[in-house]
Amino acid sequence: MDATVAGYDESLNQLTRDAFAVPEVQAFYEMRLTPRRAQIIAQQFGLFVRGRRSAWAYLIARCPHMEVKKELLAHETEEMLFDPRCGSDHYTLWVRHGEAVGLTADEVHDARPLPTTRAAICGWSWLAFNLSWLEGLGGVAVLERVNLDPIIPGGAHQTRAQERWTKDLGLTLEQLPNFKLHREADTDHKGQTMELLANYARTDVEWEGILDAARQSLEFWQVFLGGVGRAMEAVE
Amino acid sequence: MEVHEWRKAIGDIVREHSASDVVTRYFDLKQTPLRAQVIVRELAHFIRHRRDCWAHVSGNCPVWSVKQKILQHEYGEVIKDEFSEHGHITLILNQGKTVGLEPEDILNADPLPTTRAVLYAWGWITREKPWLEGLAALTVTEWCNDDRLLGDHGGGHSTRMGRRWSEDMGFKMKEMPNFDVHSQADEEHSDMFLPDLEKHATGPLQEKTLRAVKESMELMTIYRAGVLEAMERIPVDG
Repeated sequence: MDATVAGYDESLNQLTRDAFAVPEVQAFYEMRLTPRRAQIIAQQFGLFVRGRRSAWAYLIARCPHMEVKKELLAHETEEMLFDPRCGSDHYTLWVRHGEAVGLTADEVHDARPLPTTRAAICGWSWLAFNLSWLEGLGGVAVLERVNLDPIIPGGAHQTRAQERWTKDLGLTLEQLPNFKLHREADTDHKGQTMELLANYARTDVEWEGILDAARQSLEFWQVFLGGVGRAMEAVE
Repeated sequence: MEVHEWRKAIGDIVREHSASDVVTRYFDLKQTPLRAQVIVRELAHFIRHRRDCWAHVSGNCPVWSVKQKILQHEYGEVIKDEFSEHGHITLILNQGKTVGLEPEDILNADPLPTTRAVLYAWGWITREKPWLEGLAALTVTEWCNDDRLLGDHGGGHSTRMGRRWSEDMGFKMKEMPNFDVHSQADEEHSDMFLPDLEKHATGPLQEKTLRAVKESMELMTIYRAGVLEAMERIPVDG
């Protein structure tokens, strides 16, 4: 990675760290889990995983480079059809989390999005549909960084969430396959996405566009987590 | 409508297209290597542009199981399937070699104006219109390769043009991998979304979905007419 790319890579890391310092994000991670609260998480994160697929599909549609389309299709195949790391698609993992806290698969599948969940999902689709494909990719993909322990002091999203689910609810890691999977998968995905950005972003203007899209994307993440946190707070 | 009714309704529209004057002339025209090059270049644009269109339909579609099917479809087309280890674009690139085209001749060629126009139209339908209409507009083009539906017309379009190339230029089907594969793969693709049309294209959506099928076949006619006219301008001994 050359110095310019490394500099922008670090800027994306810093934006991600900044997102963890926002009060509603901190509140989400600090809130004690109960089975009912965990059900809300399983349902809203199931919607999050499914809803984000449209953004990735728009990126595939709008990118003019066949080799990038191929990479993005491979990424989506893991998310939607089969990831050998976990033996299923990624959405199914949230169904299993839901089942671990008393939901049926249908109750996860048929859950209604919170208004904040819907708004955030629309936001990510908007980035992919309306920005240049490169900026859209930078924006949509930056969320993979929230799962990277090496860049987030105190542990990244999956690690913090895993601690809550195991300590507060007494569940085992076997019942909660999503956390470990996403730590691994998103480490791989982040590397692949950064390589694509580095290959196609030629100017500082393009990199600034990517950073701006990433900033917006992480704000949508704050909206999403904030909404989930408030819904959890409202129940025992 | 149930699956069998959708199959009949879409099949009738495809058969009408296949029996049209433009399509008949298209398949009657004597093939030469230079004329065949036109087919290959335009088909390569068509194949690549499908990838944008299917992804737009997936982006617009809120139904998880349909999104998964589209991804399966696209995985086979772009990455690999039982017919190709490197995606279907390699089939047309390999077929181009048989008529004297290198891959870069195909990939760098400008489309005919008619090709560009209809690709933009399919792009608009799949990006801007409701997902069911986009899905219907895309899936019907694969029905044109269905030998089961078009057997009495001389076969699906890949089979029919493959025979033309064999008769006029002496190629065997295995030397025309794009025609060979699509005469098989698109039968599978034709059936793929019928249950989804039965489930989702109901009430007033039924008519809109059928309208999209008809409009898509009209675009296909324009596409074929453009290729036909370009080929007709090339002398048979050219």
